[in-house]
Amino acid sequence: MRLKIQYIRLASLSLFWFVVGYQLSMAQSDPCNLTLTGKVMDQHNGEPLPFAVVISKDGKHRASTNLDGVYRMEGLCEGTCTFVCKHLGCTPVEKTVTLNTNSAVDFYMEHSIESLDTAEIIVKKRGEEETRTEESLQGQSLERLRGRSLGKSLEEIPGVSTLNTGATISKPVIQGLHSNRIQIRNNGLRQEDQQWGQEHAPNIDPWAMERLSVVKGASSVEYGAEAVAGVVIVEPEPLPTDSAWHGALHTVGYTNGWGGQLAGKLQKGSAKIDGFGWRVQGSLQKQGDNRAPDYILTNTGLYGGNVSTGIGLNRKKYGVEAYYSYVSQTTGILRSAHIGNLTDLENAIESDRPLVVRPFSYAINNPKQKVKHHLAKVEGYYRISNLGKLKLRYGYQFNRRKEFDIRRGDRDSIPALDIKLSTQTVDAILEHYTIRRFKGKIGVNTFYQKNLNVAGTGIRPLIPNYIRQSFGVFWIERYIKGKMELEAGIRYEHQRLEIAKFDQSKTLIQQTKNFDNVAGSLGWIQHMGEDGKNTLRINLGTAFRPPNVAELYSEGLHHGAAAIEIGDSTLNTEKTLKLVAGYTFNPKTWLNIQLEGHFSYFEDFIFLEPQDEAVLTIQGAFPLFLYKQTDALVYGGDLSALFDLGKGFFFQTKPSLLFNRDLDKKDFLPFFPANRWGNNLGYQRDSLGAFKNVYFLIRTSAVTQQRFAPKEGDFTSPPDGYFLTGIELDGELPLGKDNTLTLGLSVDNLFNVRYRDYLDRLRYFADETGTNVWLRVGLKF
Amino acid sequence: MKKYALLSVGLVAMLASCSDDDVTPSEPVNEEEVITKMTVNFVPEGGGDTLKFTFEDADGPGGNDPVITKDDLKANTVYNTSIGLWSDEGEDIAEEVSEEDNEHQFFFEVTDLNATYVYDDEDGDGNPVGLKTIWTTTDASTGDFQVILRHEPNKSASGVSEGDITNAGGETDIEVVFEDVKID
Repeated sequence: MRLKIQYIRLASLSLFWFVVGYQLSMAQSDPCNLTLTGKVMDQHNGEPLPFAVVISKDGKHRASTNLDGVYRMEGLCEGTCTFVCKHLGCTPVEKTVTLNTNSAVDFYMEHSIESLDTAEIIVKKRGEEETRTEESLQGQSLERLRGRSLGKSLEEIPGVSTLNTGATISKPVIQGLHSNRIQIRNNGLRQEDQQWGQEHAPNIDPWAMERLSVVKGASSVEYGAEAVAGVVIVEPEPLPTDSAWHGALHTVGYTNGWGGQLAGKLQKGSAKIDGFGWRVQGSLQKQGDNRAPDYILTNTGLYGGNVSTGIGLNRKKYGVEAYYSYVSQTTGILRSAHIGNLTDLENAIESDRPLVVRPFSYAINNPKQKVKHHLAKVEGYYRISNLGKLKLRYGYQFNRRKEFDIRRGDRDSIPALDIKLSTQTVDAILEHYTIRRFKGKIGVNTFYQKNLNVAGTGIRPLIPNYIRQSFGVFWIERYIKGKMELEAGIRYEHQRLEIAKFDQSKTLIQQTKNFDNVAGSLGWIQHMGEDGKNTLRINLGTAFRPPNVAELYSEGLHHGAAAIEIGDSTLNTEKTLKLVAGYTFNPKTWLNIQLEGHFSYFEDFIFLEPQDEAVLTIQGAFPLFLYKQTDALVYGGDLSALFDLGKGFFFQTKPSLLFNRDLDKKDFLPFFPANRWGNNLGYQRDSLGAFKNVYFLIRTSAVTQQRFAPKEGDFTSPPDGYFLTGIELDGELPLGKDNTLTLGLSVDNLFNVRYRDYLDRLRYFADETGTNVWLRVGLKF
Repeated sequence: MKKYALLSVGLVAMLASCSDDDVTPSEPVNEEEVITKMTVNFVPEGGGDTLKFTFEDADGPGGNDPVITKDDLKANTVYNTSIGLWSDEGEDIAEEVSEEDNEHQFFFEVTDLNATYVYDDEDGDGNPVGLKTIWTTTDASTGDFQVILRHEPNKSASGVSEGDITNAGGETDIEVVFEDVKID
């Protein structure tokens, strides 16, 4: 029962079980027979609060509220008794009642801490759970992943995998789709960092984040274009309101690449100003060349630094908050992946070893990427009496990406690609209070983006200069009755894209394109069973994605891919209909099952289609790829079953299946992740000797060869399947009253298995990394 | 309520007001590094007409097809051969190659042609470069003649300094085949 699952499905449900469990354990022996019932509500909007606890002051009686905020306490004796009502995030409320008949007492709770978005997520209220499936990593399950990139951390979540360029560049893949088909929401802002590129990892510092969530399902209604397969939401913890100093210092070291990370944060609330708090956070990272089982992966080091700061005033009626973060990273790209032509690529594929292997080094030479990302936001909310909560948010992002290549002459220090991307967004959202069981929100999103190629590279830019603007409005309503919630939403979005570039014959091309789209969604949540802990979720949604500039205007040689890629400026918006259904249930007290199925139909799915003819250049002939559209299906299922084996032992099994189909060509589509099956055996104890939260896990994952890949158009067949084993050991050592030392040891690829992954662009050139031993030491105060 | 609506409209307007920016690039990029033209000149020893082989792709990879020209070689002749490379803007890239001669090497492959070559130049380390070569033809024949330029090859690997590309490594900067070349 008390077993902490590795990823928290919904904090609220766990809390619910806990409360119910506790209640059951308080067996009643009192002969008294009076009943006290009532409702617990939010003081500001009268909404029922589920999972609140009412306790008699003598501690003998206890009850929790159901999903409608109603509690019922039986077996009370006549007389005067004081009851305390508690709810997470609220100040406890006491009421003294004289009982002589069955009575009713309602409690109105006031939220003592209120933050912009995050506090509400900690315990989701009715009407705020996703009707799509949502899973999160936070608290200890996130602590255990500290040091890993955002993409690698998210792999913990069923249905999420990664698209890699070597070990250091990874992008999240949700149910088979990635890049411009998912959205990453960083601090409430849509992350804009040239994500069209396969080798462009999100510029986000995982150390700045305390919660990583993945919403699986078409999410265009609320989030707009590109939220086709789902949304990754990364957010820091809410700003502190507690006046004590708090902070943490973490160090991570790992053997593969001999890398290290140092991260710290400091935060404080205010005793004088109610609701005022601030935080500063930063991290540093450096590693040298990674190592595959048989050789050094030359030029795969990286270094980076990140800082972020937030300051805010969060009160029950209103709040304002400002946030700024800066991420800077330099990443080396495997030296032997640099090729001049198809012959070089064929030589690389034929060779067992990469063609360039040098001794281990921290040096980062060309080819490499240097990326800087600034993100700033100001947001505020105001509760309008009898209406709802109005939120306003302004965001500014600036991304500078420089890519360096191996060049002739003294041009190695001149970037081959140098682009500046600035993005501004304004969002206004009104979340209205419950009106006749309806709860909902209306929002307006505006977006203004400018992309500029910096002159002086001496190489024709890969993507044109452009201005992209969009304006969207949405409306989502939810009907909540008993254990059922029904949701419907609609969005309209207009996007305008203006581009300017010189084409291959040096003629100035200027084009303006307009895209108008509508998305809709329908959702249903049904809580089942006596206590509502079995939950069915179904969501049917449409989503849209106007073609990105690379798909529209690419023209020429893509060096890394050894292919001539030609865009098509007449491409239409790609549209999707996605159905996701999830069922979470406990068939036995020792078994928890999450079952998810998803099915997406794509109209005008944009992809690179290999052509029969080759293009002759001075470097030889290159295969030609054109951006085309087809109708496609992507579907699959993810299961996670957690068995409580007793005495702290548990077993978890996570098979994940994914299929795809190009309906026009009756073939498969390229670059979808292969089927995989994870099995973990673990042991967990709340305390063991001086240690707290001791956690040990043996992790295995089996990945099959990708059979659902097109027969043609790839330079080699998908790599064989592989089986990896890892271990994790974590614990906490309390130091005095408020301080905790956290310790962690993990081993990836324990048996130093040699393997290549279909979704790694460098699979033509080298094996994946071998064994890596991680050591984590942190101090929290 | 009205004032909030006004506020949000104001913010939206603020964004919209910066929308008249211009992103037009001022001039096309001059890709001085991209080799768009290669000439291979065969000068017969003891006089005679210079024979020319050219490959020209003015707009770079993709776009219009390259233009390839060739001449017929004479049987039983010794040629002093030199390679010229240019970018679209007329930049002399052969000069860049000779400045970085230790990072470059040309390789030549002939199929069904009765012709052999030796390198006629060397870098600072005494290894061949291949901008200059000496070719000797024997009997009349017809076949293919291929020119390869490798950037950062391993010149000390076995056979490389004799012109065997097998162990050369590096990246291919040029790979051009002149098909159906005649020796008569």
